[in-house]
Amino acid sequence: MPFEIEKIIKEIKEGKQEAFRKLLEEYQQYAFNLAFRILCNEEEARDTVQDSFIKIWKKINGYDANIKFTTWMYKIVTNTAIDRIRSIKRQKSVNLDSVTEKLYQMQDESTEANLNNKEMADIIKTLANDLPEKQKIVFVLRDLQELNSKEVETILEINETQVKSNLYHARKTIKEKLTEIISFERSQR
Amino acid sequence: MSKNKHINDDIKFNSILESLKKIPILENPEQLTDSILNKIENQNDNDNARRPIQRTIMIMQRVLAAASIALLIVFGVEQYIFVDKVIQLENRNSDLEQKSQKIKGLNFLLKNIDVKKLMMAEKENKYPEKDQKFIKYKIQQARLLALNLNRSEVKNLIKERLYE
Repeated sequence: MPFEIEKIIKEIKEGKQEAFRKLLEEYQQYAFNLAFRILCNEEEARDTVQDSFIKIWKKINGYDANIKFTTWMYKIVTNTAIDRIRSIKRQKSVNLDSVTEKLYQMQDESTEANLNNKEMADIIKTLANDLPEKQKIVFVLRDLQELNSKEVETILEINETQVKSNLYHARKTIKEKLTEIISFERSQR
Repeated sequence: MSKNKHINDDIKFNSILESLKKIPILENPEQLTDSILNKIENQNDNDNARRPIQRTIMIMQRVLAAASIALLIVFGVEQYIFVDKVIQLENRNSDLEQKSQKIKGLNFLLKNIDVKKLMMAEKENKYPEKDQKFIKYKIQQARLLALNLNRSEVKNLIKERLYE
């Protein structure tokens, strides 16, 4: 049975928790994907998803049907994740050796790298954590979450030029870092 | 060489990106769903319990705000009345001082002329021609000085002089 988002939202606005359960079951994975990629931590990502959906429940009457539900949801998740980043005093350090080893394997497109959550988190952290906040978020939304430019503009409330500029600089910095890490790894072998 | 390097870098970057696009595993999604729904239910219960207290607090806040504004207005009005009275007092004092100066001046002038004769002479227009200009000038001066004084005050002053 196709998931009818408009009908579900209408029921949620009427206060029906069963409808909200259906919404959660359908969308919490997407929210988790985004939160995880921004925060690079499973526990923090779960908490962020929880906080975000509570906000969605409270603000559902303010949802504008002209915007895609996922875009609206991603906006709430992104803002909640950003608030969380700012409140986290110190992030756990990354084991650079294992990250480097993994990156070296991953650069070969013929071999499939099987990454678990921790490895994925460590790699994103290594490559993107030093980026300015906006560049990192744009990179995650565009390149990892694979949203289109319009959605990113809506989520971050920036224009097309800013999206392109932030993405360009983020990719440039990550490529440089990648080259540095892989060259170093190659020299150690 | 540099172009090849860039292409190679892009290939590596894209390859790594593709791996990173893999969906992270959400452990125990049912547990997360239940946890979210429980929190929402608890919040609803708390909100219902807090509503009368919140309403009371809101009313008290508004009453306090209104009382503060009323107090400010009363204070402002009192200050205005006080300052206004002070200014009036100052003006009265300075007027009195000016008046006393003018009265002194008038007294001095009147001392130097025989007021009775002056009043008679002016009435009958009968004083010697050589004194006319001088007398008229003195009268003008006295009149100018008396301009800021109360008419009755001037009259009394002149009467006093006449019947001295």
